[in-house]
Amino acid sequence: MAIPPDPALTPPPLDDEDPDLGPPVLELQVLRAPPTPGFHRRLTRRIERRRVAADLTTLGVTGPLTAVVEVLAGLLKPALPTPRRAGSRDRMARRHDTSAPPRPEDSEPKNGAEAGPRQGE
Amino acid sequence: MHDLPDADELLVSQARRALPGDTRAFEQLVARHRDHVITNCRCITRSPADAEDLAQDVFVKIFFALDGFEGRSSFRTWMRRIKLNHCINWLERQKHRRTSDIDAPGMEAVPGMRVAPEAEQRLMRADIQAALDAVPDTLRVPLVMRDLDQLSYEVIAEMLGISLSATKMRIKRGREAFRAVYSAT
Repeated sequence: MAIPPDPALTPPPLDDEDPDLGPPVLELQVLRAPPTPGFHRRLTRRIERRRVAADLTTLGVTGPLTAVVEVLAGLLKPALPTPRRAGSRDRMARRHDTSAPPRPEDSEPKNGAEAGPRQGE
Repeated sequence: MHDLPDADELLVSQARRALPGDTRAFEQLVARHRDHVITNCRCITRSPADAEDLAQDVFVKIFFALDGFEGRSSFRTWMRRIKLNHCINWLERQKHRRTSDIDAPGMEAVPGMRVAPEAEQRLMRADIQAALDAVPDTLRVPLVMRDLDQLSYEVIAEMLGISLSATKMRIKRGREAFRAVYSAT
């Protein structure tokens, strides 16, 4: 039983068709396997499930890792030197540095309470 | 479906730019290629029961791989490769535990019965499918890749991991086997 292939479904001939291999089986072009109802709905659900699974996997890996990093950061923080501002010097270091001229705030109290009796007392 | 290849590229770029949860562009892509992918999965695997599941697997893979699609080939070529690799892997897994669907209840013509044109078309398709199903895997898969999917001999050889001459030989023998079975029906 020979079936005339539907011209609308017949693909253009391929450039590299080898005549020694015989003509292509054009009958295959009429084959159709239409989807069952609900194909899209099932596909969307499957994608959503996979997306949730991927998110959970990511969370399962990054969650504990983030927790470990946070704990380590918390443990190491007291041991690490406090970052200083550029140009500032540590007050203790300045006190031991005799070459540096004394700064007024090092020798004089900031408020006048200890400087001497207030006027009017 | 095959008249506007650029439409695929447009939909791919829209799907990639879409916000999470917005799958409208991807759904259009699926709608354009769904029938072909299911038919192809059916032809390669011979399993009507699994063809739709396999097609869904293929579209799920495509959805999550869309960001990695670099556009070096057309979307159709890229999709065909994913589909064929998936079907070939499925065949490999089923090799030792395949339950044949060839004898699944199909449509058979009753001699002397007049049938409507659309029913006649269905019967013809059933005959073609049955003839194709009768061709062994090693010949049917390259035959489908060539005559249904229109892949080049080089690509078929590369995907099946066989030489170019072996690919051509299998296609030739596949065509002969199909015609022998089909002409006998």
